[in-house]
Amino acid sequence: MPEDAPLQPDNNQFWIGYARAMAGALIFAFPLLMTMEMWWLGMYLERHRLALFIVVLLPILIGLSRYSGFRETTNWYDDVVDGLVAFSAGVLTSAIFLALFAVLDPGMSWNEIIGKIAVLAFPASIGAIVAGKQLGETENDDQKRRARYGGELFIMVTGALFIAFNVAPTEEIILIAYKMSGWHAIALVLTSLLIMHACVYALNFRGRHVRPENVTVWRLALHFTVAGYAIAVLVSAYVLWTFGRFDGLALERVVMVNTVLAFPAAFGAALARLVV
Amino acid sequence: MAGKHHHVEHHKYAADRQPPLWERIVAGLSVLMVACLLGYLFYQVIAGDHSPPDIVVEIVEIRDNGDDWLVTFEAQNLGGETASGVVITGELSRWGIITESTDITLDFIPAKSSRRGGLFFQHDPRKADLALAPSGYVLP
Repeated sequence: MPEDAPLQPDNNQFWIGYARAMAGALIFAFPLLMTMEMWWLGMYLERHRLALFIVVLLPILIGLSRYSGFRETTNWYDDVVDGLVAFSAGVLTSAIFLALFAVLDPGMSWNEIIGKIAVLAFPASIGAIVAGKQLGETENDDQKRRARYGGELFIMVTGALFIAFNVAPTEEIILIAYKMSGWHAIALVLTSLLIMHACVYALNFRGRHVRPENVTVWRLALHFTVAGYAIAVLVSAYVLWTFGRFDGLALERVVMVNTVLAFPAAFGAALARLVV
Repeated sequence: MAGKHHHVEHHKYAADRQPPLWERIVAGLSVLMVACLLGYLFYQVIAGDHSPPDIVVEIVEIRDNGDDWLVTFEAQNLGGETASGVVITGELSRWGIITESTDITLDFIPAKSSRRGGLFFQHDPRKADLALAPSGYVLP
């Protein structure tokens, strides 16, 4: 058997991979497919924010293909193809299951139908691209170890984005922010940093098999923990803005709501390494 | 066995004694951002407004919908605490007698923030005295 055989999948392998991608899309997206806040977002989300979100999604899928993906990739062309295929699997899965749940209805406008599918395409296509790593037979350790600092940051962005996207639609994020005092918020920031540091310290170097002897505690804390939390804060703000959660809010409220969402987002950032 | 070359490369990461400049810039900006966030939260605790909700309702537009009239409004909370379950009551009156009354509950009006809503009336609000006012709230 030639050595480069797995790089050129035949048709059969492609469809097996596609089915696997759809399974991954379903696993990652079904809690949101069955959440009514997500359907509402599909209706009322401002279209330019939704469009921007899809534009942001595509490079994330392509990047994820670099670090996991559903077949071994050797160049950027393959990553782009894999990213687009994962996107199509995410859209298809969302459309099928929203239709099965009778959330999509022939009486709805195209604007509403496309909006609902587009919102859910995000978690579904992330699931589709990660599926290869989770459900595939090959442990792709080589590529995992290739990630440098930029790659680590990228994976943290993805993890934060995925978790923030899952939690942000719920009313509770807003409610918690209203219940908290300023002291609660400060304590939450510090707790987020502490938990994040524990996760980073315990997990960050696991996939790499290279002992970080030369990476000092300071470098780990500042370059990974604090940077990871900063990523969580920025990603939370972006997701909340996309969902229109900041509309009409004063700055101090914006900071409070964002601090609440940054907590799960920080978790997502720290633990993304385990999944991707 | 062409893949062997990649393995050599991985260990460069461990061999990097000094992280690259841009990595330090990212870390520096992150520290700055988190410090600003904590600083802002501290400032709000010490110098922030903690007064009870103070809700002001302003009429934005009166619209003839054909079968009824829509009065859209903006409710602003000037206080320092978030009000939840805010009831906005709209009344039409003529010569001091209330002819029509309707209300709507807004889930939340955060501190220093505003929410928009609308009330439907069966009679033309422009031909009567229209008054919109908050009736009450609970703390979240």
